[in-house]
Amino acid sequence: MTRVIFFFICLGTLIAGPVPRKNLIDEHIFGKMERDGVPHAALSTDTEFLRRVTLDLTGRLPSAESIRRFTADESPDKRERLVDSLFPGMPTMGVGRRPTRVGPFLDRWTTFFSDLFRNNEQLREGINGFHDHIYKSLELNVPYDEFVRDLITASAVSTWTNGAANFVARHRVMGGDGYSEMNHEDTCDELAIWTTRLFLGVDTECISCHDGKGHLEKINLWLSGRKRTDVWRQAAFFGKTYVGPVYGRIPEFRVKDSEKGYDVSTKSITRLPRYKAAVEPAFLLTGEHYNPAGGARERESYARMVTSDPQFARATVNLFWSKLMGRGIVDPPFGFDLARQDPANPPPAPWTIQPSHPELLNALADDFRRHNYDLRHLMRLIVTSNAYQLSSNGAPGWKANHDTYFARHQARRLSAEEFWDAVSDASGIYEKFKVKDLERPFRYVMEASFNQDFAASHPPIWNLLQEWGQTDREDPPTDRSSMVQAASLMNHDLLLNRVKIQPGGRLERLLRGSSPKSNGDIVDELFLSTISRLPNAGEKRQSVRLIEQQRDQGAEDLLWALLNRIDFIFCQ
Amino acid sequence: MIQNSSAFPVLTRRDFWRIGAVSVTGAALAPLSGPLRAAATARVEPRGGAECVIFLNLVGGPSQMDTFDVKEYKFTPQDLDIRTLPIGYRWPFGLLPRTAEVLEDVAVVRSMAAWETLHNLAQYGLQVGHPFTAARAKELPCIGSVIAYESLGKGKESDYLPPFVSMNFPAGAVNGTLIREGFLDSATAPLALDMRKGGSMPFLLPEENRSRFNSRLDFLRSFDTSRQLESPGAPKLYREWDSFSKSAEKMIKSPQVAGVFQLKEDERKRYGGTPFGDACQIARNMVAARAGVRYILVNQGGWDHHGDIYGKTDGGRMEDPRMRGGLYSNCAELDSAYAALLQDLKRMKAKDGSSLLSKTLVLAMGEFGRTPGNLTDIKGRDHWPAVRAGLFAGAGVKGGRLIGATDDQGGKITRFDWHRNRPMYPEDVTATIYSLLGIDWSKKITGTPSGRAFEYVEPMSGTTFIDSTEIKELFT
Repeated sequence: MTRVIFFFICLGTLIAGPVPRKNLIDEHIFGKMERDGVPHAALSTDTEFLRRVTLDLTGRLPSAESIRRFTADESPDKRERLVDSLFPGMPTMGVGRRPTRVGPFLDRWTTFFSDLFRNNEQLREGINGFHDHIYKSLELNVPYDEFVRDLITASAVSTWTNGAANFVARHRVMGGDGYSEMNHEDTCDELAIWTTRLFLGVDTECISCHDGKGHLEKINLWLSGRKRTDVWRQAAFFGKTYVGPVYGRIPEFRVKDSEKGYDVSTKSITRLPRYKAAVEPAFLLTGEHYNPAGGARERESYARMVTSDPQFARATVNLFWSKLMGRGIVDPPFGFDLARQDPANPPPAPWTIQPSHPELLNALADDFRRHNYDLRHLMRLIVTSNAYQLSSNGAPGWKANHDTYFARHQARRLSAEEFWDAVSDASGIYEKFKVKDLERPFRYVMEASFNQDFAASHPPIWNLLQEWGQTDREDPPTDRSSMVQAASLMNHDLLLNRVKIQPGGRLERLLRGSSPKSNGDIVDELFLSTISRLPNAGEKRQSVRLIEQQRDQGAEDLLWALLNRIDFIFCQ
Repeated sequence: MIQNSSAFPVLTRRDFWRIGAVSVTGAALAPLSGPLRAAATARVEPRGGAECVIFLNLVGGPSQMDTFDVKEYKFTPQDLDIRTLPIGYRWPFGLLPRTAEVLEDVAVVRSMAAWETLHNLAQYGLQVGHPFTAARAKELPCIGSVIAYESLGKGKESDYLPPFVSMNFPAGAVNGTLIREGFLDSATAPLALDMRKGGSMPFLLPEENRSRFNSRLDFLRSFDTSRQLESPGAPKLYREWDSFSKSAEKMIKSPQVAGVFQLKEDERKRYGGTPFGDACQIARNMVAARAGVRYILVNQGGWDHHGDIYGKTDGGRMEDPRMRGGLYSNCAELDSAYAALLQDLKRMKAKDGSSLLSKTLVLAMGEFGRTPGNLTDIKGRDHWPAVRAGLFAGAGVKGGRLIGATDDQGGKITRFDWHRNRPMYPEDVTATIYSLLGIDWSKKITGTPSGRAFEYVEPMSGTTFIDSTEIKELFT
């Protein structure tokens, strides 16, 4: 069997031939591989592509019906049309998840940003508002620079009624006993560090405790020349920003600009003691000082400086590239070394240029700017490239360094949310998840604002998701594998229950439905709804035999085995 | 900050676990291949003698003056029933009656302190044994992972459990900074189990399911072509998953595993019938199984008694659920589980005839103490780093006594009772744990992703130089 499979892979590679270059991405990616003689994987098959792009853009598996439709379609532009169909249309009846629902794309990317911005329990009732703010911004496809400026500049009398202000409030560092007091300068530091990381791709955490000199020479050339005071000057843009409870010891916050400014004489509870220095607000990347003459407040000026800097577009396209391609052009995406970006101005030896494809990174950033920071346009550009559409099995002669060429697609384990939603869709058995303050129950984990929404009502599922790497939004989610995950797929009550024939489920419909299905049809349907393709001849023979031996038990066992296949657990 | 540059190649964590061994149980663990170098810097003689450490982590910070360092105020409720123990000191029989019965094996330590006043930072100190620095938080491994790292390749062929097990951790902690392997191999990550409501126990295979489980596995192995890719270009992650699933399969199929995870109802009751009690019982079973476990971390949350500390209703009066009382329920949960654990470990014998307790260090402590004297305006106690009290037992710890003393309010240490003549900090406890497990705590690992050496026990804490060391007075 192994040899047969291997033969098919080789054959696939051989018959693939040269891959057409579909857009600017392909010119750079395939051009570089051609120049360096690096063999790339074959193009993904239709079903591989369909499953990958549906998971990547919407977090869901494609339905059996959509797979049949897509594979039967013979038009040359069917992949592009498929991608277009995965984005929701513009709202016609008001925005937000209350009156209308416009599809999993918004749930999936709202979850992405909610994870990224750490929208969690620290904000209590603000969670839903922050979630909705992100959701609506995505639904209206608000240009990303505007979206970011909204977050940085929002003020509120209560973060429980103003969604956007939760971004700033989330960076509040508690002082004293942790409830009513804020450690103001530490909060400013956090805001500076996080906004620089998230929106400019530069991680200033190291130089927030000590100067770069003498520490970072071997780690980050640009940061090795920056000083701790540079971080303070960046933080000073938030020097007037106040985040405090509306009353008492409850995390409902006021966000306003009422403080006096950044004061180095206060005590830090998270970093080394500060020392005396001039800390007038100045932008880390350009040194531009705050100028009150224009009438803009400090935060507004900062938001403008961040989003108008070319690095903003570069960091953003790199972040989404890494999300869709499995690794960044600069990797990790929050690890930019700004002294090593320009091939025309190379760093001194032994340093090398940091991006694997510097010209592509700039071209993507230019394109993103030209298209008015349109995230959907950026995603579409990436997933319609043939670079995205390569198989995840490397070509013969594959070497570890070929991954920096993007010579094959990076397989990834399904995220916790994707995993559970895929199990629900595959089995046809759904929970009714309750989201706080919302009447309508949801079927999918990805629709919840925060996993605590159903921690109390569905503790077993919530626990399972934790084991699968769902984030509590203190740290990023993880798609790392573990022994508990593998064991839970094989032997967890929840999973064993999902592969049982029961009312309303897929197995019941297939085995007990009004129009009787042949064993072959049952096998086809189960394959399509789990690993999103039809069985090959051998798999079909084996699976049909299993069902013939004992119809009910065989079908259950087949579904169990399909859910335990690596090509179910992974997005390949 | 973990960064990678092509000019100075360092392995990122991701590369580490792709390169390193991925098989997780016992002897199958191969030592980490890669550029890490571990070397001892000072010559310390680890004490050895413990096979396993059980750390009962009392999250939130127990009120020392109501529990292990009990003080009597005018307002102290009568039903704390504070009386003098036969071994000579005062004890809250109303809260910890069963613990009173095992104190002859316990050193009650009252001269510990914490560096931090915030939960996450102080817990970090306790479980990572290092001061928290934002830049290194993602890189530093916790104590359990260091112990697992030290056990790599040293297990027995028959081991079916991993070296590091954590139980009942709050959501996210496993993936967060507190309980993580940092730059170490993924094989040193904890086996994270959760006995709380809805927690899963997918390693238990009921006998009636065994044959179907086996036939399902046979079928899976025969038809999962996605696991049979052997070309070098096939994703390594698939192989890693396959390896994890084989380890899981080994555990699920192992007939002994049921003995570890299956809890009898009468025993459950003796341990309190709570998730914490269940975890303690499983910890006992793991020690008894001697199947590769070296460090077991069990969490008990809810000790953060800011408000209504003596309140008895669960409903509470405070708006914020975290402000509600619960000293009684927390103590009750701890009391039955702790006493049962110690009694069982003392009763159960290892192959050489000695008791399991003599080979197991059992610790119970939180991240800091609570404010002494009068209660706050909301009838609770806030965070107090200057005094921390805890329980040490087993592995040679001399029981039946007090170490350290505080003033009559319980807010200041008046006697340290150990050779450093200063408060015992989390690092000293860490050094003691390593020492008992035979690990040279002066070791340093270089070649970390950040380039900064990882010291098992760091001499710096915040901005203060402290010379951390094993608390040898526990044993003399």
